[in-house]
Amino acid sequence: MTTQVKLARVLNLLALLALLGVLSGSLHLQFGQGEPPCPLCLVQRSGMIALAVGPLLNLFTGIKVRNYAFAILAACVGGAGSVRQILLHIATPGDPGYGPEVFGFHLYTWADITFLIAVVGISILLMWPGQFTANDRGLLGTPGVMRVLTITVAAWYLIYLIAMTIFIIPMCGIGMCPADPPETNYLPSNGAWLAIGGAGILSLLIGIISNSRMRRR
Amino acid sequence: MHVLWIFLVWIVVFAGIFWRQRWVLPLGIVGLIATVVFLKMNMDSTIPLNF
Repeated sequence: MTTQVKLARVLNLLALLALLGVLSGSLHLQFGQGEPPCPLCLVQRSGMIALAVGPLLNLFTGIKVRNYAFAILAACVGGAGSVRQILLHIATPGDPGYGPEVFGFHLYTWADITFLIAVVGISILLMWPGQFTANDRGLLGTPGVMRVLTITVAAWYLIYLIAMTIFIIPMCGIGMCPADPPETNYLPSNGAWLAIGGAGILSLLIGIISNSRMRRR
Repeated sequence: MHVLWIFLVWIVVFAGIFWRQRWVLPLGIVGLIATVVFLKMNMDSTIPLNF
């Protein structure tokens, strides 16, 4: 394995961690501050989840152009949702926007910035041919810290995804999701951070156990 | 289409990543198309920003 592949893996992992941070913030708002996601927010969440698929495939199955291409498509879909929501609130005079502001921007604006950074970042990465020439087959066959971290991050995403899916049912029922869902406090603010930290610790345990079991085989 | 199905698709996609299945990317494309359909279904306001 070349140094370029190693560096590409680290960059993919860092991108996944940054996305996890954004998703953690949105889940904290939902469960800790009682701000349920609107239908357009769910589109953006779906885009963020899809955006993580490309880098995860790069780490699990090897660095491939098609994985980066999928991530760009995902960023375009998620970006369409966030641009739609930004325009919706711009076009309505006196509209204060949906949900709370974080560092001066609404979450859908931050989501749009995230998708834009993803498209630019992946485009720059695609200009770097060295990572594709090594015929990388993924890091699952290579025990070590990177494998532990990769499985940890993947498990963390899966836990978030399951939590999001479960809480869609009480919010939307079996019909269309309400455009402005009522506030529902599931946890106190600190409790939500503890739950997010707990999900991280559980994922780390899954990563460490999976790494050691793969080594034994 | 219910948004729940989209997220169930993503759960299957993520499970597929763990087991390195070949159908992960095609199913992911299905998830993206379903997301676009869901976005279109929610363009119900009267402002001139619908596509």
